[in-house]
Amino acid sequence: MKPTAVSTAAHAGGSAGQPQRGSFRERMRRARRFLATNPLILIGLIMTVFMLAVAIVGPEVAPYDPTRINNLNRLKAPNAEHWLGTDEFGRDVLSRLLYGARVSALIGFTTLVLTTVFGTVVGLVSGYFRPLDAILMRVMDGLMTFPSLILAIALIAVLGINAFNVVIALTIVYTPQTARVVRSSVLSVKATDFIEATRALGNRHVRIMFRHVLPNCVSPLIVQSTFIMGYAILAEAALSFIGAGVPPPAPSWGNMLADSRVYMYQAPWMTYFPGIGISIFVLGLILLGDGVRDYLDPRN
Amino acid sequence: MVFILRRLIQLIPTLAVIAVVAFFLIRVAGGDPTALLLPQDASQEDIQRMRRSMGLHQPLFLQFFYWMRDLLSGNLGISYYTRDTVVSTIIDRAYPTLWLAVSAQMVAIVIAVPAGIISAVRQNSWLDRLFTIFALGGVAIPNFWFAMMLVMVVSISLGWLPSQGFTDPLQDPWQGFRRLVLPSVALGYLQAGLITRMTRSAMLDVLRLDYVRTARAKGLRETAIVGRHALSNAMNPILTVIGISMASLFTGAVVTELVFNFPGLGQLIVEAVGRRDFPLIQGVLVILAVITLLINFFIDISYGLFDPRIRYD
Repeated sequence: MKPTAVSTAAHAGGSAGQPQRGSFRERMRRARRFLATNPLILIGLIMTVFMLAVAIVGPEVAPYDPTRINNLNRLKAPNAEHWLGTDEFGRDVLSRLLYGARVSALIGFTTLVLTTVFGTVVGLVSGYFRPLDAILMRVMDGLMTFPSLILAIALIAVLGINAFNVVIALTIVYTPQTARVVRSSVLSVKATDFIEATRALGNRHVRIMFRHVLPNCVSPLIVQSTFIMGYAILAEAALSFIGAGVPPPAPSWGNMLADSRVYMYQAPWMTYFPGIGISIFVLGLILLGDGVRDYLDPRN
Repeated sequence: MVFILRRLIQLIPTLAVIAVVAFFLIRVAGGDPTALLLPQDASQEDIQRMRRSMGLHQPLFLQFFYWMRDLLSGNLGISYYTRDTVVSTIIDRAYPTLWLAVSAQMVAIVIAVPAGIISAVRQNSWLDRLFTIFALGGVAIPNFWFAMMLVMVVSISLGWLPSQGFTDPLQDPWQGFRRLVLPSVALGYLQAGLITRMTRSAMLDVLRLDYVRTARAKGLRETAIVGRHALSNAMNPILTVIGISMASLFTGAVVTELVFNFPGLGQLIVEAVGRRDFPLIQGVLVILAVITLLINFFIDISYGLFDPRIRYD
């Protein structure tokens, strides 16, 4: 019988940083006990789910068209009609905030998916085939040396300013981090006996990599992905803020903050809310990532 | 000495990657620069002449070879917009950024290292929770938004400090200091978040070790245990994160400078993007990457100072 990756890793003492596994009920009990002693992960989970819900449902329930200009309604403070006030073109800040949430979440999520795919492939190949490791990891090291936002700015300057290119730039910037995480997991999984056994059974490399090595690298990958989404949301906001992200008039939290700069004194509400939105979203993701990492840490 | 040499040799492939990325990013993906430099109605002859004068008619590998040769001799080309050399343009604007980076990093270290140590020593206390929230804020709150909030409260509402521009602190120390406070605090908070988290976890790892328990059993005072025994062993990861955070310092400086109208490298790169001034973007990219690489190199070789177990030879 061919050993499955998961059960054998558990026999090997969870050497890939996996928690000891037990029955489903036991695992649920462990998770509940962990949540009770670590309320921050619960708070992170609630914040993240809330912001994702806002991103999905928000635009459907937004009271106004986020791009509709109404010059008679310029810079109105929060009131019964416009709960979060209006901006310099009389556009409803709440509606723009809700649409902006979707833009941020979409860019963050797409970056997460692409980074995970490319980072996993590079990390797997690099950790599995040692001769390729030197080349691939030097490239990743080189990319990691560039300050992330400045590399993203340079890429966008070359590719052109739009949301799609923001995703491409952020994927290039963050892939090396994911590749590094996957590679280090692959190296430790590869050293276990069961990989040796699957190789002895005559499995092909691709099958060993994806069927047996990859499932044992999932935990650190999940943690990394949570952080990447947070960083991507922050980076998108920063890029849009400096005018190299989502171009106006489409609302994004970053370009809303850029618009608000001139009106900080007259209309501070334009500044408050996008910043609070970004902070809650990113904080939720970081708390969640921290919590999942602590949960999966074999020392706990 | 051998270790330092070996580390220096290891820098070469990374430097090569930096050069290749920077070159191909701009040359291949950036399109034909003559389209940006010449007026739209330029004749085909003018375009060809310009291409020849810039060496663009040569095969790509030759262009790369010449570019590398120039790079190694410190020549990063001419800015499309200022018509000045990229190096001198960058040097002019690096001065304010250097002040900002150094003072922000000082703000961060002064706050974050003690906060991280106290957090670890008093693990799970209310002080630990307070510092944890503080550190998480630094990582999660966009630093340009935090900067805007500081401007709103400290400059606009209270009128305590100016919020725009840069004055050389060597020329006018008082004005220079006043103008540096808010940008440094804004950028320093981002850094402090990272450093506090790392200091705390490094200290926690060390405080769990047997030798700390032995020191305590010997009856040493807690300050001596933490200050002399634990901290020196936790210093390497702390130094590493301070080094790594230099990269985020440059990243943060771009947006912070924009909020405070600070005439530094950050604003230069934003201007360069607006004008599609590719040699300048390329120059900033290469210089910042090399600085980050060198900082990490020096941190690597300074490990031995804090951990006598590390022998380089």
